[in-house]
Amino acid sequence: MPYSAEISRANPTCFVIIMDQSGSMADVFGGGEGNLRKADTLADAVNRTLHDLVLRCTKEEIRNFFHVALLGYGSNVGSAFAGSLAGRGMVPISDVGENPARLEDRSKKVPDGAGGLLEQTVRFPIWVEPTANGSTPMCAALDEAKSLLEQWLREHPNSFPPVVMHITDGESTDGDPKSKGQSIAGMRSSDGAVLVFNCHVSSDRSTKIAYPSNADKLPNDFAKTLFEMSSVLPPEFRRTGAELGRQLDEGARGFVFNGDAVELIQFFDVGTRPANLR
Amino acid sequence: MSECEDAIGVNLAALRFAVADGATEAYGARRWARYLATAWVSNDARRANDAAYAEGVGTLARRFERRQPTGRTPWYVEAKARQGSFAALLGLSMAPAAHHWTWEAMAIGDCSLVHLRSEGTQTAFPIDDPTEFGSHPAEIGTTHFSRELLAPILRREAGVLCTGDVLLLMTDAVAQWYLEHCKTDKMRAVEFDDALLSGPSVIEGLVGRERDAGRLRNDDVAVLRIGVDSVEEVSHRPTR
Repeated sequence: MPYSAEISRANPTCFVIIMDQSGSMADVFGGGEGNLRKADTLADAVNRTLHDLVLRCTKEEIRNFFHVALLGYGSNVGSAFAGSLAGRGMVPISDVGENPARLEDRSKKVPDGAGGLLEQTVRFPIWVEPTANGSTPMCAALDEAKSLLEQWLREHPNSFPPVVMHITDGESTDGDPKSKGQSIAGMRSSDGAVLVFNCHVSSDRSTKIAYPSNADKLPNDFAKTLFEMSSVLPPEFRRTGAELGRQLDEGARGFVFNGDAVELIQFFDVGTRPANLR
Repeated sequence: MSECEDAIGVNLAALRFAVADGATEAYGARRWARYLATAWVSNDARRANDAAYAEGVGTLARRFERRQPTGRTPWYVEAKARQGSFAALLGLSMAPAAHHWTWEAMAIGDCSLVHLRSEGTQTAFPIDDPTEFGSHPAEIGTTHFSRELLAPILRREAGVLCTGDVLLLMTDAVAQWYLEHCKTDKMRAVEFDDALLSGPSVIEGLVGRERDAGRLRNDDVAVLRIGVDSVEEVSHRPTR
């Protein structure tokens, strides 16, 4: 049965996060979230996702169940890690955890041990900073992702298939990305094909479409392109959707169009939760 | 074995036994599993009803939470510790009744008890169908603990003991395997029982073979076998 490989240190899986860092990401969301800039929300969602992936692998130390690549595209194309990981491609999760660019203090409510909550200052790691510059070289970023995955799959042929999460707010400026996205989704380990998720975030107040199973209601060719680049969700991922309160049809794809900030955060949950650690 | 998150508790004097399964992804899961197993076997009537048990676990959870990492710890250890720990527990006690011996079991989560008699399986508790084991079992957590959260996931069962009976207390992966492959296959059940009686190297060999064959999930394994030599005498043999 595909997508059933156990994830262990001997047989890790990987996540590739591709972030649109073009100039338009400096605009605010259009869904009435106040003045939330897309670039800020995306960077925060990615930092939270990396934080959660590190913690899932932490006992007293971090065990390398996952490898992670973080790519950005805008005025530059390549690794989006800041700090000492800058420039690195696929990074073992222990290196990610040990090397945030910085730690910032955040306020958090924690249990007080007697049934109440206590406000506490906690250290929160930052790996990627909000960035919004330049055009939208999506094809170059997908090429970079494919190159990283080809090498990783050669080294981990029996892994739980890699998951690629791509977030963008606009159309590619360096060509048609469809065949490149489909080419990544056609790569595979012995446990199944690479899963490609695409999340489009919008500055317009437009109707949100999340995890559709067909392209009938998609408003334009760009939406259809992203839909066709997105993988059909395996049952385990649809179950995660149900746990998050949304029923996903059989055939639902890992695709969100006109997503808002809430949808963006949930998108990372749907893409990363099912990985089954051993 | 150094990373095994399962724990076993045995108190022969009180005839109380437990297996606990610490959640793979949780901080200090082995320690929390040991707390729960040890607390079960070291106590008596105070655990007899659900409310008293919940109160005892609440005290235990607060003690666990007080032992947070201190000093210059990495951010991820701090954050992980804040998430708390989780474990499933199966507790068993035996006691004489008017004309026979009885057992009582309490389960939170998917650690399972199988009660065997010569003619076959008498009881499988709390799960008797191997397809019911899932990746999100009920667990006892150290954070946000309350009696109200524990009540709906706590289950109890009881039975009568006869001479020659065997009770197997198992964590989830091996319990699922047992119910799928041994419950209706007497030869396989006998092979497993012989392995349990033969000691760690034999049972480790069997577990390894079953894992390699894809029949047994690659998860921690803990089995406690309790053989009832006679209703006046109860022996035990732990295997991890």
